[in-house]
Amino acid sequence: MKNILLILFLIFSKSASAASVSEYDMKATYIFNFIAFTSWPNLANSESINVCLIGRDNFGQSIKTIEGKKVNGVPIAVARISSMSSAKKCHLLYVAEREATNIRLVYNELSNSPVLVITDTTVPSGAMINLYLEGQKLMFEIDQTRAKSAGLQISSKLLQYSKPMLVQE
Amino acid sequence: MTTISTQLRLRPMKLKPLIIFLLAAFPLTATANTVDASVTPEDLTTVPFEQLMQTEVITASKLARQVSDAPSAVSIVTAEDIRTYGYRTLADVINSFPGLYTTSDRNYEYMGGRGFGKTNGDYAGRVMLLIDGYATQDNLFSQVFLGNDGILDIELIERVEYVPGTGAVSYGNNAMLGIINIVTKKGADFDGTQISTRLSSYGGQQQRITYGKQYENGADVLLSFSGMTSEGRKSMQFHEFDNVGNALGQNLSDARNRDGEQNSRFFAKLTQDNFMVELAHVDRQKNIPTGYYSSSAPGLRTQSSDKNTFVNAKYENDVGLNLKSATRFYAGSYENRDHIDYIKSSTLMLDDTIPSEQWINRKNQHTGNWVGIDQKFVSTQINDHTIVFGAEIRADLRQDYIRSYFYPNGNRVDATGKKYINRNERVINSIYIEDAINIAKDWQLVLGLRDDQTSDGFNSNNPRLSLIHELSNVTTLKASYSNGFKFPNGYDAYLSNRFGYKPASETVAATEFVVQHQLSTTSRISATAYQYALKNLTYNDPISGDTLTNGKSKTNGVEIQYESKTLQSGHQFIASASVQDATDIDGSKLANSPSSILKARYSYPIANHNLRMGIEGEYFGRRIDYVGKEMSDFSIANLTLSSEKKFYGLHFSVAIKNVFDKKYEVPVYLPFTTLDVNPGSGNVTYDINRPDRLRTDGRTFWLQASYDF
Repeated sequence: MKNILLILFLIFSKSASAASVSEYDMKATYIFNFIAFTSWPNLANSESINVCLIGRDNFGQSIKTIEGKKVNGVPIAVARISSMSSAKKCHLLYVAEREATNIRLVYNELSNSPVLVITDTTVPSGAMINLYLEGQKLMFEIDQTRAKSAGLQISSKLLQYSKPMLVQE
Repeated sequence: MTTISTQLRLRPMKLKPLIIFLLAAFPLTATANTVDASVTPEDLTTVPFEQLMQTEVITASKLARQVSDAPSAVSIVTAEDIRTYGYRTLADVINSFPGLYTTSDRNYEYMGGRGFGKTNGDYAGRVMLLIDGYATQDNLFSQVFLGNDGILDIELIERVEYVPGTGAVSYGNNAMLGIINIVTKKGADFDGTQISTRLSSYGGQQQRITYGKQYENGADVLLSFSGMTSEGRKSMQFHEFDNVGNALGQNLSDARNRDGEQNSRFFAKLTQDNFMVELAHVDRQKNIPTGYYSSSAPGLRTQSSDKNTFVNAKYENDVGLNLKSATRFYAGSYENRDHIDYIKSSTLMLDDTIPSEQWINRKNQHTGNWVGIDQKFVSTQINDHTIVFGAEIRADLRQDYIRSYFYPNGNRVDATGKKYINRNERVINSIYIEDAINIAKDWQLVLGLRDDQTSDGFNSNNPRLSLIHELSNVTTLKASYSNGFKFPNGYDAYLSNRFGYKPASETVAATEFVVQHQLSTTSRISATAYQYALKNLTYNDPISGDTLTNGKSKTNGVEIQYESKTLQSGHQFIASASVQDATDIDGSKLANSPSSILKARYSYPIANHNLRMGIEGEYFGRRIDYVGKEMSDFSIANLTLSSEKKFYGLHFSVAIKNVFDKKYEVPVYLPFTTLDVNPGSGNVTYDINRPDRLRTDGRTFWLQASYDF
């Protein structure tokens, strides 16, 4: 016991210091910013901005950090959905990595509804916005054409932060 | 407010060491909170986007997130931890998990924790060991190999997860008290060739060569070979054998050069797209210095050889947007070969069939083979339901338990029928279903059921029920009730045939409550209270001597874990405290089960992030040995210094285990023997009362260097 106290003393005499941000807290914050830089045709008469997650995501509690935050006076609501039948009610749909290969099916189901489709994969996914890690920094790419065809306007300010999208088709 | 509520939860446990420990832990919490105040998640949305994009993120392991959905408090050791704290074997990793510990009898490492910990025939098999989803337990002893007999080199491990509690619904047979899941690395993690050499105390050395690469077409390949040797302790004295040795004119007490060990390992893994196949093999030989068997002696040769091999293949595909499929095929084999020189005696031993007035030796040939296939589906078709369902068929093709006896000249004693053979084979059919239902906002209910049936007449139905509630952004509550089981294995079949009783499936009913609380973005605390009730345990009735299979035992316990990581500055701290009260079949205290266990580890960068120091401290409370005598508590400390960055492809680490050279003993179960020996003038009876405790090795050192090219 004496030894262990000595060890504990050694440990606590060292000071813990500066923090950084966890990957998914940061991803949630990026999603918040994407919302702020996007205009929806139907947002004015909505009670909430619906952020939906489909598939097994890795956000855990992190996505809750943006829940209730307001963009232009409209609060964000977060829902994990498990089928596409309710996806048209979403303003933003986050498609988890393992579902990203089904992105065509997702677009078919949405049939040009104004839903901002986001993925989180290391390879080009065909999403409107794809998040990815470059080293320890979180980057993203935007497919402006795809977003426009769904009636969404992404601010040029956001476009200038993004990496040019690799054309997949 | 949240901190206060956490402290309230801890208050009922009036345990002195725990309080000291917590008092020590909380000042750090306070510091962490203050420092983190500038970047709480609430503030992140107010940070300008330009600035966010310049901020580095801590990448959480993805599966680590997924296992956090499990209804118990999951602990994870990563490849980085393994390097930082100088873990050389799986036993070292297990010793870092809350409440778990290993005990060595100088042949095998046995796992203990949460009311299990026997080192006699019990092995470690009640906690399941998975490698990439493959259940490694053999079908003879249900053993888990944790030392140099383990199938994987520790450097090939990406992550080890410990999920306490039963895992029967997902994994079936043997998943009684917990799951230890190993995720192996990929070729891309090596990206080239790595050679490694390791030197350690007691004449130990290990060499390894690993090649790993991900090719342009996406195929990922990993190949690794290694071999180790160790001389072990030069000499160990067992004076319990002096009398019988003197009578026979042979030194039976001195285990001189009888602690050596060697192994060789091979691992290969290929991953492409949704397909993975891997092959693993280990061959280990160990000399046993303790007089391990009832007719063996430290001064005579006792040697064990254990070979484990498996192939595991997995294919995952999406049947549709809402239906996924995972198909797994596996095959495994276990070969145990022992050589045991017998003390010359005319006594018929309980576990043998022959008395002999000559010097003879016994050879064990224990062989197990098995194959299986598992088809699993995950459906998210129905809103708010995630349904996992599937079926598994496993064939235990061979469960052979063979002992034969030889004269020193190699002639068989069994020419006169003196050997023992028990063969067994069976098929296990299993079906399972589990539904995770989002019953309301922040409430999840998980219902699961599995049915397992064997061709030799055993079956078991096991439910799981758990409720998870997200009380707030930072606090999660979990409650679960589940059952688990262990079918009789090849060794149970041998024993029951031999001694004429009907073997039974052991069962466990587990109840568990968990509180997880995020103290800040970089620190969290979790507390668990659990109860395990085991039934149908096999034991010998002390009065009649009959073997009975209606033994019960019960364990109540509490575990608390605190974790803090500030990766940018590179400080990392984890501490855990466990308190348990375990009773054995007869209501007495369970042997080799410390009443309290405290663990803490801390690491920090030094020399401008070029080196890293890892400090580890462990305290084990009092436990009783197998004859019911109390053993004193002890604490040990380990230090590891490793290079954080590679210097021209070179990476090294130096570790001192048990820095303060603490002398302590661990309980072992070695047989008591009465032998009739004839030194020439008629039979004389000798009692051999083997030790109940063994002294551990004390301070040891090791040094490892690896080079990438």
